[in-house]
Amino acid sequence: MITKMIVTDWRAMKVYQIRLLMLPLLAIAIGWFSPWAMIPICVFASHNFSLNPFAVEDKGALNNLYLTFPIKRQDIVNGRYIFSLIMLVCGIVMGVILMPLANALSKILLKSAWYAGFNGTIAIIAASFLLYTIFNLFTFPILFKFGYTKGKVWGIYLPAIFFGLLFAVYFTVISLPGNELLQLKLISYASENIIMVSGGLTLISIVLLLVSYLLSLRLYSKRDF
Amino acid sequence: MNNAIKISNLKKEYKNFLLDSISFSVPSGYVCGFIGENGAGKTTTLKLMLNMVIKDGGDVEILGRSHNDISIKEDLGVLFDQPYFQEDWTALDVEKTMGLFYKKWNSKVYHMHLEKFDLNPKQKFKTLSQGMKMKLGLAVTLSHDAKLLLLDEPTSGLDPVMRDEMLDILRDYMIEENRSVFFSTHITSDLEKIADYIIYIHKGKIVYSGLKDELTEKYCLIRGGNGDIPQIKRKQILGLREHLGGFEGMIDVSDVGGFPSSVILETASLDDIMVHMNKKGLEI
Repeated sequence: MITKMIVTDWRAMKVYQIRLLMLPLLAIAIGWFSPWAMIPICVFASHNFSLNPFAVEDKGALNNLYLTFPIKRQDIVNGRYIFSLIMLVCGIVMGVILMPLANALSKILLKSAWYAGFNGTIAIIAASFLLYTIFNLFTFPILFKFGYTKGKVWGIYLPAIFFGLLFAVYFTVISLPGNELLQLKLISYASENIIMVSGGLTLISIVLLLVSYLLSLRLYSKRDF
Repeated sequence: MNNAIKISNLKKEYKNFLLDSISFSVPSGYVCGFIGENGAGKTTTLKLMLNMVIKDGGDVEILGRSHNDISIKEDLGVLFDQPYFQEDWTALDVEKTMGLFYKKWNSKVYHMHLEKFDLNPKQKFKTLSQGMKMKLGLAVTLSHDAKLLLLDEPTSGLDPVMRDEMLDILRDYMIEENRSVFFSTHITSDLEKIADYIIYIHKGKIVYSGLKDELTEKYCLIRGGNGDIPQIKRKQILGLREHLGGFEGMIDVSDVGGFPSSVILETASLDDIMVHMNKKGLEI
């Protein structure tokens, strides 16, 4: 059933499918100067892409269509979450592939290069997963409760602005005099303590994702269409 | 007699509307018209039946099973006044989706209907006229061997020719045994042609549930000149309207005695019954 839901959601967002091809370009345009930023940017962009089924549901009354089918409301929620997790994996893979490209661009244009190594990359992936689950917790339950039209301000725009600001603040902090090595130190620490840092981040992420899922399930089961 | 639909004490409360513990049943094999003015609760009832809206109380049984049993939707053909298809979908896209969810989806029947309704399988939904959109919706509802069609205002927004065509399609559908249609509308002239059974809802309450003929035979229109209404009869006339030339209204046929022979009695249509009941606000 989950596959059917994902396939139908995918077909419903026919007009938005092309955006998927634009995600790598967008990621490079935003984070070309910092190879390590590729994964979180790609994960963030992919998560945003997974919100498209919500964007089309109001216009084409997708929820109403689903509720005429012999399926449970839970199937609809499951489909959206699994699609979002697939997009998370796509984002991670895309980020890992784009890292060397960003590194090369950074080398040419900024005369600086940086490579995280295997352990460092795992730490970045774990941190990106945490960012994904926090963003997911902000967006999915609200969109399941109110739909895209009513929920987009609280469920998409505000979290996006918040994370954008967070991103900007982080870059400002690591760019301040004296903090040049901060990022490297963080990655080195995470690399050396891979189980504690990456494992801990992953565990927190799983808990947050579970909370988000259960909340969405509860809110969607009570929603009137 | 088996019931296609059995609703008991169904309740839903909104800020400005109450569906007030309604109960009715629709026997299998009937075309049932669900009538009532705009805002009476027709769509809410249909959505409650489909679990699109969560009930505050009561029970719904469809084809002998609780509406919470999702498998009943295999046997339902659902069509609202605007089919729920994505604007960029073509009839072929619609088929791909429906085929995923209905075990009894019949592609041959679907394409036969597309041809019969003159629908281009590659034309996008958003470019279809309202009538064509409804036909596409009907093609879907008729292509998975549904035992019960739940239609919400399917003829609203259609011209008379298209409406007549739609009714023909429903007549064809009813040829097979054990099929039922539950048809909400405020265009009661459509029901005069096709319905056997009527559920009448008014301000969230069921005011009539039974055979159409029993309802239309129960009332007649009455017209007369000034002074033709005996004082004692005045209260029996529903929706009484008096004017310079005389009066008009509707009356229960069992109450027609006692009027002077000059009054004119005429058969009441469903439209007349709805209009006069609304004016009077009484239960039938």
